[in-house]
Amino acid sequence: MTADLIGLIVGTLLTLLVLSYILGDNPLYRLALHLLVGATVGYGVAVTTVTVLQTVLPALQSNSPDRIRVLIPVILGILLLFKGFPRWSAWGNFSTALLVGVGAAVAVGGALVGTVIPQTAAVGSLNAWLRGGSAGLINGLIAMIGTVGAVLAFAFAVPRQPTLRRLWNGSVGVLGQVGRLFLLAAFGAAFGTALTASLTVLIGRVYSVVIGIQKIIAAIGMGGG
Amino acid sequence: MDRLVKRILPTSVAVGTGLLVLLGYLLPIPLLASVRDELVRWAVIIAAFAFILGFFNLLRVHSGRARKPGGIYSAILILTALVSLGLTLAALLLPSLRFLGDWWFRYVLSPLQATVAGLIAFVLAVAAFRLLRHRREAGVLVFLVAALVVLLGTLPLPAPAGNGLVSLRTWWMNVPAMAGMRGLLIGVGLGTLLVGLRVLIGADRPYSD
Repeated sequence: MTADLIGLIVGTLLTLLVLSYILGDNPLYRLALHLLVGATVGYGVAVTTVTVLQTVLPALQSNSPDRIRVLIPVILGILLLFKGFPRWSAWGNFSTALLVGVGAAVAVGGALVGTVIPQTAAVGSLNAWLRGGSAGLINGLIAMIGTVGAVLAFAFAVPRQPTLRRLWNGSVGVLGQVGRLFLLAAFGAAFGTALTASLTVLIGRVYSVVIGIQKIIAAIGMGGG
Repeated sequence: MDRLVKRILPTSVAVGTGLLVLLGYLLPIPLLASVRDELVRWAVIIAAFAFILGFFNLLRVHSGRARKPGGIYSAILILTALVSLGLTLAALLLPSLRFLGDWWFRYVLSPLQATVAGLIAFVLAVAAFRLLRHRREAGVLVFLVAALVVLLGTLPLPAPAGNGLVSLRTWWMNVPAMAGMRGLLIGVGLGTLLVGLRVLIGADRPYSD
């Protein structure tokens, strides 16, 4: 029996184990899920470790200034491993702090420059609407009302003063309700797209099971008598 | 001393590095940009160690569960993780054993991941059915109409109905769905800004023990 044939049998079996979920949650599906988590984590750690070693080791072995630049994060990384031991876990705070600080700054920079500013600018781009004629103008206005409404749908705070509250409910509240419909339109579209994509993958897997079984039968000599 | 190691120094590191990276993004100064790139490179290396720490934590948690009744799944998870780690490391470090890693990826990882991704179709269909059965309101109708427009617009139906559905799908994706998604993105962006700024001014300290 060749390695490819064993692989084909293993792959087909694993696919069937996962697909058994269609009959309901069962031990075979749970077994497949634990296999998936174990295999994925082991693979990810191996790739990460080798990538880091290939980046860090050449720099550490050289006599260039790069050595110090690599040594600091390696020391911080080793300190982070102390988080696994409750008694010394405080030593890992420095590394976590650097990760959190840099992560927060990257997130703030990305959110500001990559999302909030360009998306807000695109909401009121009158020139782009006018390029599409009167239909473009109407579509642009619908998109603008939808976007503003969708943002306001997340405004949960309400003024305490009764007059302001009535004003708030009459403006922000109504726009928020309209925005919720636009959000649902977006979720529905995302749902349809995700369903199409996952159906394509599912059909591919079912097809591969059929082909796999045919190949296994042919290989072990049961096909065609 | 304890307070210094546990709180003051880590907060200074987080706020200091965070502000340097943020200024590197916002100000067009080459020195700040190079400091930003260096700090991000450090964070990537430290994140790799965090991943390894997470792996050992997973093994520790599941080795505790494996000893309890019904812990067979945890034992299988540990065994699979170690086999996967060993085979992939061997394949990456020793070119002569590359075929082992390729076999593992092709016949174990790839079928498992692809089938779980495919199973999402089933889960989504069941969720839509339950939604339709339990909640009958205007919002649900909009959701289902949107899903139907996208699904029918994707089908290769003959003209003129097919062309009409494709046009409707294109309009729906470019106007109402885009507006909703843009609003959602701006909301998420504003939320990210707020959470990030709280960390950068030291109001939130998720790194302190």
